[in-house]
Amino acid sequence: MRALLVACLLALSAWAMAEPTAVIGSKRFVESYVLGEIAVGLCREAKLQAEHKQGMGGTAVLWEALKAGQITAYPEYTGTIAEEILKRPGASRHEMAKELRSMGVLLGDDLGFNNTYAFVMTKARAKSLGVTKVSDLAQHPGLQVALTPEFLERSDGWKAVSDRYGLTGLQTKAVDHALGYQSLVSGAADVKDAYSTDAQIADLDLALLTDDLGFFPSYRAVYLVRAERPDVMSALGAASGTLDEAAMTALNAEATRTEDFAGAAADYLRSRGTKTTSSSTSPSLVQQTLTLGAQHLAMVGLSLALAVLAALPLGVAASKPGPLSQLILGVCGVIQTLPSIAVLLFLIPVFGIGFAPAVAALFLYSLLPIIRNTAAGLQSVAPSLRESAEALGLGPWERLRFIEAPLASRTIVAGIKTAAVINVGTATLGAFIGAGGFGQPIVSGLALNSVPVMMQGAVPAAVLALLVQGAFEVLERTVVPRGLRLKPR
Amino acid sequence: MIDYSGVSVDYGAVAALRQVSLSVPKGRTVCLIGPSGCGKSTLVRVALGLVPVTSGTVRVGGQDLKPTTIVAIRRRTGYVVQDGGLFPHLTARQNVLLMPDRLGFSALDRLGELAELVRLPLDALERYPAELSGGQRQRVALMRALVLDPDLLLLDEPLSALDPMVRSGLQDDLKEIFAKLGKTVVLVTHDMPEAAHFGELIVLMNEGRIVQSGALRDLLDNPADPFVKSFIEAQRRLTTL
Repeated sequence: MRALLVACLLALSAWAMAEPTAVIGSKRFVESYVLGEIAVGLCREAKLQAEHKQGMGGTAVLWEALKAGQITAYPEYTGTIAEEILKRPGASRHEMAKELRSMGVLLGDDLGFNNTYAFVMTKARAKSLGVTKVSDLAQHPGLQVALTPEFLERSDGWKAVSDRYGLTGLQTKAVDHALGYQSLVSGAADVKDAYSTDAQIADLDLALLTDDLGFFPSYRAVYLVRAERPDVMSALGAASGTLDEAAMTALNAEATRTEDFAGAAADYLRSRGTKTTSSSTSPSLVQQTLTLGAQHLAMVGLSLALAVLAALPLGVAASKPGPLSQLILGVCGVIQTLPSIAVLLFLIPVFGIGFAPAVAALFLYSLLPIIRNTAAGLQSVAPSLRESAEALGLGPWERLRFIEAPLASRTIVAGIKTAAVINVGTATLGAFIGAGGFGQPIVSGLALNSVPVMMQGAVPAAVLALLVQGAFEVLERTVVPRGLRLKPR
Repeated sequence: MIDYSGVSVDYGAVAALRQVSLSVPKGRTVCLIGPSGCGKSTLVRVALGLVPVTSGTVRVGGQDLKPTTIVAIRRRTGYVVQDGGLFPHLTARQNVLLMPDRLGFSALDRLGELAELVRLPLDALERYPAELSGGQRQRVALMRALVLDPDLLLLDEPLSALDPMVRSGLQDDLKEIFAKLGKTVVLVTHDMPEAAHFGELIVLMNEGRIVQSGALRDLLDNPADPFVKSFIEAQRRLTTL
């Protein structure tokens, strides 16, 4: 146990020391990953130290992280800034820059492309129906439209579009984004919603329908940078106006195909005629697994150690029947029922993003198994033994320390083991808030819709869970007194 | 050594002891006997502060039993229960030395002495309770009760769980030990021959009250009430089978 803790702390401190100056965040989709890698490359060209925290989450997570100084910069879209961040739909670029500046954030120049909502069809189908723009769809009321559930639900989504273009007669169904593309190809659907730079548009040879009534707001890609880092802003400025829709779609397609975001970013940087340093190359699989493993173990080890320190006294308190016991077990039970993603999000305002909130969430989840087993173990000590200890003249603390705790040790260790194994699994969710670990390839794999990439995280996470389980079996043999493992004669 | 005066104990609505008064004289062996649930175990546990009294007072070794004196009284009293009450996670030796170690003095020299006294082979000291026979467990429990050299020994049915052969051997050994040490002993039993074997003074209890106390002869010749007579009759029938 002690060795495990030391190893975790070492891994943690090594990781903390490696933290570079500029931290670039990205959202959980391919284009954001690529733009994040490009930002890192641009910083390094400008001789700035930079690191990429990829796929940290959605807009809310990235924006909070930027405001809190957890990250230095991240790629964003003007439409999202106006509607979601500033809540001022239709704000001009000048107005946005001014308001962001007052919040300590710089608005970068337009990168050159608009990644807005769009409708796509296969080129063959569009040609046979003579459809080139969204308003043409109204002529074909029999068309099947596959929409992502989010777009179908949003008030400014399908409902508003169909009202505007007179498309209310079309058949719609909710289909996942990646699956929706499959249904276009197979002919199960005729039209689907898309982002105008989706890699699949190039890959599957799809036609982008013109938004002829100008319904969708523009989502021009920009970098947001913290105001105290003008050096980073000027380094990223090198990309302004260099990426048009076709270029970005091609990069997205390449990243999706190769599963190598850094590689796609390097291609872009090369095409701009600047030499790229080798720093952008992606690490080997073994190296990546070791790095992620160290992050994963640091999260699990630290959260478990803290949970043991807190849960053992609480378990002792909960072992004595009464209102306190009910309160402790009740609160922990409620924590356990909260969805882990929700807990992670609740913790962001308190701990920011990354390692700290992940450890805090894992800590909370570890409490119940340890507290419950500690209480149950102590309660199961035979009354006659409890009384023998009392009759010898041992004080309450001595009885706990020398008699009751050792007698309950098997149950207590089992509780810690349960918490540890659950923790290894739950820690994969840490990747959603930029804590790294084996969840990172899983999250990337989800964004890429690539099972092999997901396996790079899922397999080591499963192996780690088995190793932790094995380590506790060994620990059990040293912690649980031999006398308790004998069969009475 | 122990003075109970007007002690009552209630377990919820059930009265376990009703107005019991009894003096256990120093250096004597007293046997508490009676049918199950008569309150004999409770009477012993009251003297250790394991059961709170509802009314009445208990004095042990001249000290009133109260929260501030309980620990001191417990440490001057040896206690053995039916199954020995040994801690399964400690070896026999660790069980015996638990209290001396906690109180910070070495009892290593005493260990051999006690093992000899209770006739326990020395190698058995390194075993865990689960590795000992029932009789050996009771011998270890007695060593643990004696290690602090208490003035008072409280034995709650110490032999009842043993098979007859072991039991009879241990009865003889115990009697010899009591005679050698000259300590005050209170022994709880439900077995009249066992009480007769040990007891200079026999206290017969029923339904939370002391029915009669005295020497065996007294109880046989002058039963205080029909219960005493029938209790002795029943025991006699069993033993003469």
